[in-house]
Amino acid sequence: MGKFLKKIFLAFLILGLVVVVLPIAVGAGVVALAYSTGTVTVDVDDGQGTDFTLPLPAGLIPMALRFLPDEVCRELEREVEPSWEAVRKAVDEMNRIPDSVLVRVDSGDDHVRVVKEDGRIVIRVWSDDGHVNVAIPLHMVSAVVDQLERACF
Amino acid sequence: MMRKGLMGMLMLLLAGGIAMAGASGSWLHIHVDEGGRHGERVRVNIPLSLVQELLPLIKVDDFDRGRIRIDSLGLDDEFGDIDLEELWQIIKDVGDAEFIRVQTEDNDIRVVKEGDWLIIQASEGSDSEVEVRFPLAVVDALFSGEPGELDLLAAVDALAEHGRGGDLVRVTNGDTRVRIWIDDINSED
Repeated sequence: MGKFLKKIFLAFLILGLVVVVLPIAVGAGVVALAYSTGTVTVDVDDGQGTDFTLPLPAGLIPMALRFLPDEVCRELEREVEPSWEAVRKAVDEMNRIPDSVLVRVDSGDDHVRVVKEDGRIVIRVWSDDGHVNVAIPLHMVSAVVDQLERACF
Repeated sequence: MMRKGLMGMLMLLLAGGIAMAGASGSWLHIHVDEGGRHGERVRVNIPLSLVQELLPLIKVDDFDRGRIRIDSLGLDDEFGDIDLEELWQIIKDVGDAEFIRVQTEDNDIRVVKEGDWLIIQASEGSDSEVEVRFPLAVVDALFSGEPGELDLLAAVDALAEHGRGGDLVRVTNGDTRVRIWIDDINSED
């Protein structure tokens, strides 16, 4: 009987670990990843009820690219590979330039900014009705370029 | 002949415009201001080094490693019998002068060499004006490559070295104003 109870206890312990500890560990890993690699942030408010901010750990994106299907790679190789060196140079150069407002458009109540800011490319679009902000860490773009190069070319 | 000469000048201008595309530490600024309360305001600030890096990597048809074949520009119909390089050598060796002046009732076009600058001015009526100024060194650099080619990369370097000192392009059309210039400042104004 004692052995049976021990087995039940062990089974619940393992189940508890899987249900409680694993999500916490994954969550902690994601938070650590977000802190260490920055976040891609999408912030949308359309003034009609859609209002959300979505921070994605930037490190996840290059990691996800490791699982890129072969056919996507072949497509990329065919379509993008001839311009790949230009893409890489453009990313390197964007990393190198100082923080600056690259594009600014003001048209009545509509506004657009494309800015290099704190190592990120930030795109802000807003009007009286709402806004869309997207921030992309440039080191993530570099990592994506590296990963695609390793995986596909 | 005058019309062909003018077209030749405008081609040089076009090629030079494309060449406004690279030079380390330099920024190309484009400002567009529409008049009126709701008029559009556009500011573009491009690090020229970005284009300088990319230009040699672009290979499209007759554009390769920062160079383009003149005969690929499709200008034979307009001035097929004019040698642009030769025309430029003639202009370059002449002192300051007004090479072309075309005046009609509504239009006035001038092509002038003034010091180290080639200046093209055109106006239509009283509210439309265009002025384009290029350092002579830029046009010189354009023709520094193989015969029959425009070397945009060399022009870019020349532009970086000699292109500062005022607006390169200034357009006024009614309430709309466009300015293009180069400096070392990465701010929007």
